[in-house]
Amino acid sequence: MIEKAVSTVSKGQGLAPQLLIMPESSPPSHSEPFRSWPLLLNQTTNDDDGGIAPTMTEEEHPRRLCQFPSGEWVAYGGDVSRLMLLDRPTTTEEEDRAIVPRVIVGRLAWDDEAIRAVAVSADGQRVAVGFDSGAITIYAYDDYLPLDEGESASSARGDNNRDRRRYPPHPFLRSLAPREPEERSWAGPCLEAPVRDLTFFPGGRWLACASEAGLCVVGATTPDDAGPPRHLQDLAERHHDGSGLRGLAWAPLPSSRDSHQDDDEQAGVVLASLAMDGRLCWWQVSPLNRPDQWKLLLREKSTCITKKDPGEIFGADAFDRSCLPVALPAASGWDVVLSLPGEPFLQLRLVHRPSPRASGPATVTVSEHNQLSPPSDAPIQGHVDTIITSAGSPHPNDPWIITGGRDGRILLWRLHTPASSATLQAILERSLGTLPSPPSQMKWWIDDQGQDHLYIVCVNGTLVTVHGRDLLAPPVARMNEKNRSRPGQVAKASAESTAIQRRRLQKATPGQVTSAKNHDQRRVDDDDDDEVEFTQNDHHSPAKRNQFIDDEAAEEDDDDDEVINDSRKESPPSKEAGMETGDILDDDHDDLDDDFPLPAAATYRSALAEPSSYPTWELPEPQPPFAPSSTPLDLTRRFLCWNHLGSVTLQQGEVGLGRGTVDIHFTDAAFRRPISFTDNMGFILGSLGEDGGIFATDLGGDDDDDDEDQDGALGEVVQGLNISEATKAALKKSTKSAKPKDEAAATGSTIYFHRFETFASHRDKDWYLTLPSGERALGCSCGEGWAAVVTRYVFICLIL
Amino acid sequence: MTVVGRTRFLATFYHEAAPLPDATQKLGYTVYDGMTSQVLSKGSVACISNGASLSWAGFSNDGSLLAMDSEGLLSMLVNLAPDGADLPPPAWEWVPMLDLAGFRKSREDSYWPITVVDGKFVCVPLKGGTKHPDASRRPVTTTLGLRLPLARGSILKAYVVGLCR
Repeated sequence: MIEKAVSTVSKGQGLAPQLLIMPESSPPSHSEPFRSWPLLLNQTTNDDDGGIAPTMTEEEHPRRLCQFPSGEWVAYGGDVSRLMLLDRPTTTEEEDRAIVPRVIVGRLAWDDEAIRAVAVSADGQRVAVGFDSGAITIYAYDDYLPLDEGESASSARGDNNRDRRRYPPHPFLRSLAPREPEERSWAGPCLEAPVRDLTFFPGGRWLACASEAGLCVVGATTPDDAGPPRHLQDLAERHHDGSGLRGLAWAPLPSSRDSHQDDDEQAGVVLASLAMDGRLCWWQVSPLNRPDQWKLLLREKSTCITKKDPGEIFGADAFDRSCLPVALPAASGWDVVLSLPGEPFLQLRLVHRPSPRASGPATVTVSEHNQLSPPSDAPIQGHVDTIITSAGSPHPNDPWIITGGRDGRILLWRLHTPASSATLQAILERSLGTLPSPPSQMKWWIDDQGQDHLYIVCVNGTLVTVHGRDLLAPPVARMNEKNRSRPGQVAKASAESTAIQRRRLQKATPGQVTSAKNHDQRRVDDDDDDEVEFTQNDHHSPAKRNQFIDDEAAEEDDDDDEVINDSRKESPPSKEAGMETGDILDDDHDDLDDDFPLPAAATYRSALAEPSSYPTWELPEPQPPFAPSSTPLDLTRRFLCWNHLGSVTLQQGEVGLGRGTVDIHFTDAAFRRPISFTDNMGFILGSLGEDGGIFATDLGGDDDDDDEDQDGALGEVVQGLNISEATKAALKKSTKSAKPKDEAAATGSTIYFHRFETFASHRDKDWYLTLPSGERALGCSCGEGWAAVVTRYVFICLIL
Repeated sequence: MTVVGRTRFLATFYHEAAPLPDATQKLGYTVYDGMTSQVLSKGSVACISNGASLSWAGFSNDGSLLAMDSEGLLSMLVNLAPDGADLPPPAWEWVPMLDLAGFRKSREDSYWPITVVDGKFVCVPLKGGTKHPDASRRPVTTTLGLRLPLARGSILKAYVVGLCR
């Protein structure tokens, strides 16, 4: 079959493609399951220019994959007008494992326009190709039929939604020129902006087009259907605020029993459109034969992707183009799960579909779920950069999802719903590995022999493959049993990671849409729609003491223990008859654990593999705060700052006295004399500005020490200095080396501003202030009329 | 993480996300008008080399924000929008202005930044593996003119691609 394709290709117009045999890679293993294959495109041209086309540039690398019903794959998406045909993998007898597909040059150029989207209907009778110019071409193959008509399984959901029938090689991939005598094609809707995504609805009659101009759905049965009207276009433009779209994902709705019409015509789909501004909208496209009844199902209030897509004109990169929603195939017990990219944590949407037996208007609900925070001691913390793509298991009732992020990590997640909750949780199972180049798209699929494959197209133009179920996820049947025994064993934890904000779903049409509330009762009341809630790190850790509030109740007090003990005496817990209540007050906590059995700690590893087999990384630490143009703290004489105005040096005082000397030397020494003063506070930071110098100390000692004047001689010295009273008071401040008991009890950093010149009294030219308890200054700076201090509580104190 | 200022401009640098596995720091910046607290620019510090961290930041005398990473690449925050043009944000980009690696005569040489004045980078040259100047004596400063680091010859394309951050 490949030979035939090669011979057909060689008859083409001036192109001599090459059949590339991929080099063999090392046998895969659990630690390194990946096989990498470069997607090269070397070819010679016989045109007038001649010469040899260069190796693909980074912009020309294929970014996306598309599977045909015959099991053939094409790669596309770079700034080239070509599709790269990937041969079907075959299984060798020697290793009983699929070999990597060979890459051959397939169908070629259409007017040198870059191909941005390719879609194939589930039955293979319609193929749509979208270009960078906004043009769409639809190819019809009405004679394309499956090999075995008798077998037909229920279609899987999501991107792998195709009948589980055997199909012959697709004619679209066999013809060279865009137009062959046996091929029907016509121009689809010409959109005004680059096409981003195309998808066919069930039956192949409707084609949904996502472009940078918006959304539209057109018919694909006859050429006349591609013309107006364009369904959902105006609605999408209004609800997406005129923003273009990144991608689409859909899931079928069940058909009603009361319908007398064909199931496909009656049921319809739920369509999710992800805009370039990061907003997600849901559309109820049902029934399929009544486009006048299609409507907006839900418009999410907040964007789900922080980074906006600038569009092709303004330089959308490979990651922007790859930011597509993915509808996962049937997962265990849920209707539809949608996975969203664009954030370092896994974002899920659970679509609750109505029962097929329900009559009347169908009500579809969408609930929001996010990645479960793993324990802090887990070596694998998930993605450290945004997730680009994901792929769900194609097996029915399989709870696995694989994600790939900009960090190159390929992670396996397990979707889980605790028995006592309707919350959908994504639990990190293990890491499949780290790729040297981030992935742009992944596809998890099953071949005709039932073997699992994972195809990953990377940004650097390589195709990474993983073959075999055992390298991807635990076996299907075994995990179904495990799922039934797991509920309840996962400890409750916050359903959001630390760095994200809570988002709400907006009710689009009251009475028709209900937003499922899966939130913890301790969270903010839903009535306040405008409030953005910042979740705590975890709701189950003990409440941390507020650094800004002197809470005497938090201090240890013997009386409190007695009160607690008394309360225990009054209501002793007893679950078993015969338990002696008087012994409950024992400090032996094991007894209490017997009375109140705590749930088992969360397990975030698969029980199938030993922890030692997991690859672990020592993640680099974030860079600590620093002051530009300063020298380390441990030096006896150091630079606090050196900038365009001059330099500030600090000479550390003698040990025990705690007095240092600050010297300021100006760049324009001819106009400004050097300044020198004593440092009694222990400055660690300093900066020069146009008006003066700002200095900051570390956390101070107890406030009670401030009132003491320990050294009379010091007071006399201070009185002799021509400085303001405030400065004298600061200099008299105790600089005991006594360290605070803890940071919470220590006073905050002291900020001191030394003004260079003033027309007012010199005694009042300087000022100082003390930050709240426990607040340490991390940096300071000053300029013309302002001074600023940044603190450890992520505050910027701007002093004017 | 750090704060710098000059005249009426104030800039803060912070951790935008956890560092990458190769230790590349993921930083963000915000530029304020110190007098009005208005945010003038905000974005990512995209000029950090792979595996590098921020080693210096400051304003030049014309108000341009500059940042230097631990690899010695000095970059300037430039507004790409022409005067009067209405470009959607972000129009601010980090442009490499000076690569100190080209001035090193040995691997132990380094340059301790001070400021940028009139297109010249003022710094203290350090030798023998010294990381910072001695404050007990007045170090000698030197100036290096800013120049876009360009590759030469056959590696031009690959190098320019690598500089595009």
